[in-house]
Amino acid sequence: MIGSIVIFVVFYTLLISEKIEKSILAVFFAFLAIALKLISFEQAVDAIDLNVIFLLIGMMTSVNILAETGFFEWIAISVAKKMKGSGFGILAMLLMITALFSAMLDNVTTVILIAPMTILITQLLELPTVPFLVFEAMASNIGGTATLIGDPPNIIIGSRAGLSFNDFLVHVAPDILIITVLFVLIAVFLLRKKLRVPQNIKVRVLESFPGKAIRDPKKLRVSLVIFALIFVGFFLHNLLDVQPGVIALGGMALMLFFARSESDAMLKSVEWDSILFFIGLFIIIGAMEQNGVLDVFAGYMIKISAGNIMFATLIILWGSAVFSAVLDNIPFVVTMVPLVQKLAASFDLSPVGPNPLFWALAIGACLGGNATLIGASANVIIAKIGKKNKYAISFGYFSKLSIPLTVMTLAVSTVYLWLRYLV
Amino acid sequence: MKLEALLSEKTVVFFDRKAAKEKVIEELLQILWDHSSLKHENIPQEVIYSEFLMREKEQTTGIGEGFAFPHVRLNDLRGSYFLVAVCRNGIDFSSLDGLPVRFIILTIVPRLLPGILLSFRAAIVSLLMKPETQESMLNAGSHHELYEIIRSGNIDIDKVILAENIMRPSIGSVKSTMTLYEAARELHRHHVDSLPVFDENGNLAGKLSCHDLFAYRLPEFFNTLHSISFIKLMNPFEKYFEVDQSQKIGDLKLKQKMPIVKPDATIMEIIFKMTVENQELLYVVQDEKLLGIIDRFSIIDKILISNFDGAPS
Repeated sequence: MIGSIVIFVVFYTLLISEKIEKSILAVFFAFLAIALKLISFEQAVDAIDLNVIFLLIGMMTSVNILAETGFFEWIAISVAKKMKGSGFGILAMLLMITALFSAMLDNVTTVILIAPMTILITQLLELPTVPFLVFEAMASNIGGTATLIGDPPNIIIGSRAGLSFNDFLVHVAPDILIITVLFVLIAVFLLRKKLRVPQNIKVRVLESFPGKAIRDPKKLRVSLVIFALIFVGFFLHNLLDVQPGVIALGGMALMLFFARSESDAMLKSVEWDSILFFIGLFIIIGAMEQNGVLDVFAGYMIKISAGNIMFATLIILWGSAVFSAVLDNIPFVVTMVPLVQKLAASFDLSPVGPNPLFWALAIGACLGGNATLIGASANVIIAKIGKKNKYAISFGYFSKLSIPLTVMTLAVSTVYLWLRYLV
Repeated sequence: MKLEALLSEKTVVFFDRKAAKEKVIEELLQILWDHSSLKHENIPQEVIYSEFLMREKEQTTGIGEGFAFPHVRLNDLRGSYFLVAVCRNGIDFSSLDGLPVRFIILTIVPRLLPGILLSFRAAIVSLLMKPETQESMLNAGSHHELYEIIRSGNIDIDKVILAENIMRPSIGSVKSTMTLYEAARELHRHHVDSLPVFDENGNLAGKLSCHDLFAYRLPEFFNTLHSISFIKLMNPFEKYFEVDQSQKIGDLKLKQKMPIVKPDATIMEIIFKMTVENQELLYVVQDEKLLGIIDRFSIIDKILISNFDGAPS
């Protein structure tokens, strides 16, 4: 047990120090855990949640094939044109699109697709680029919270706690819908003085040709149909008793076959370092679980919550948010799911299937990432894209916007959880 | 094998008379015929002569800088035959650069042995690359003396073709202290896509291409878009290309890997770099000094065309 704790603490310390690539760390410490017999090979293999891995690989590949068709450029420029170059309309629409896409795709993928178009549109219309980017990063984290596949913490919670795609839609999405509307309104309000675009400048997007963004209409149609099929699969996966990861794999196979991209190039679009990170992480946490470390932690949590489920839910929501604001929420969630399961058992709740504790964990971990520039991968990526294009986003500027907004989103969620589950 | 082994005092000749290209080839062929066992090959002299003319008709072998390489490849030939003629008065060979030819290297080889032609040509080029050798050959007093110059050059014939044998001098360059504006002017002046960059010490520091100039001006996010055709109004795109007068080449991070080969790089290595690493241009460099450049055209010209020409079509 001591061995697992030591490995976990050293791993986590190095992870926080950011001196070494996190995928390398995870793989190395997973190796240590197996080599030191803290977890047997068979247990290690079992600990790797292939549902999560398949879902990530399948979605990464499928969305990249769709992106190649120029679909996302088309959406963004169409919006700008439909809004007739109005800064208010464009900001509101871009944020809503970002939230929607993030709910359907990975957050990082979404911002990678949306940010370049945002820079282009704001440059064309001479709008302030930096706040657009900051709000988009936040919108993507908010949107990602809504669905099982929207954000890696949800994928993990869903897979481990046996929650279906529809469970998330029913239990989390309503909260996110309210938050998104409020968030967009506040964002537009905050930027209201900078969103006016003179008529002569509006012409630049009025005279654009969104249709030309689509490079391969046939491939676009095929990929959209396959995407629709993937989502039909997600809606029905519980009914069909097929894991979402398997559906994503199926979708990927259809994409590779019918959208006829060079599969070699497409397989490169999978972020293999993330995949390795997940594999290593599952094994390290698996070792802690095998050695009873998590039981001890769970014991503390049960003690603190003192048999009060409302208190436990709010502690998980706000605690996860604070933790995710400063640290990577993925290892946190991987560690927390078994703890929350044990906690649920102490309230005579089933450790699988919907319960407010899981929703608090998902909402807290996903939304908490919004609080700081380093809280979520999407923020980090937006900052990187901004910096490369000479739109540096400072930690201070980001926090000034993000902290109050994050508190707002958590407050709304607190009320939501309280009214829906705890009264 | 040494270069002189393929020649004799009789097949290294002066040809000072002014005459038409066809006439020159005819007479040089006659000399080779008389002084080699070509006449025992059972191939009529007229057949060989017409092959020469056909080859010249396809494209002149006057490759410029005073050199001409008339050659034929024949089926059923057993030996290989070579002749070097020094034309002190220059011959009009309708060369690529329009200059009169001073060295004619006439070659007849079996079709199945194209390598010998290339090796011989490479050996001759590496001998005559030195201006002082050219000078002493043009000033030699006799056939014997010509032959001696070739012998004393001590050139190996059977060594593989190396970068130094096929490189050409680099035209133009830029200094890392030049501004981007000056660099753009230099590229324009030489009408080339790229130029070597030298640092203050005259060492090769990199390659500056038009691509670098464009890429420097364009914002990063363009790289992640799949198309830009949907935007028609240029404004504010012009802003991207406002040239900053103070920006120096040295400030630019030249992202491309410098395409360098050593002078002793083999032809395989050169083609590998050009094909697998997709380099259009290679710098032949020793001790950070630029000796010459090899572009894809040099390879096409010196290797592929030589290898394929005259092949049955």
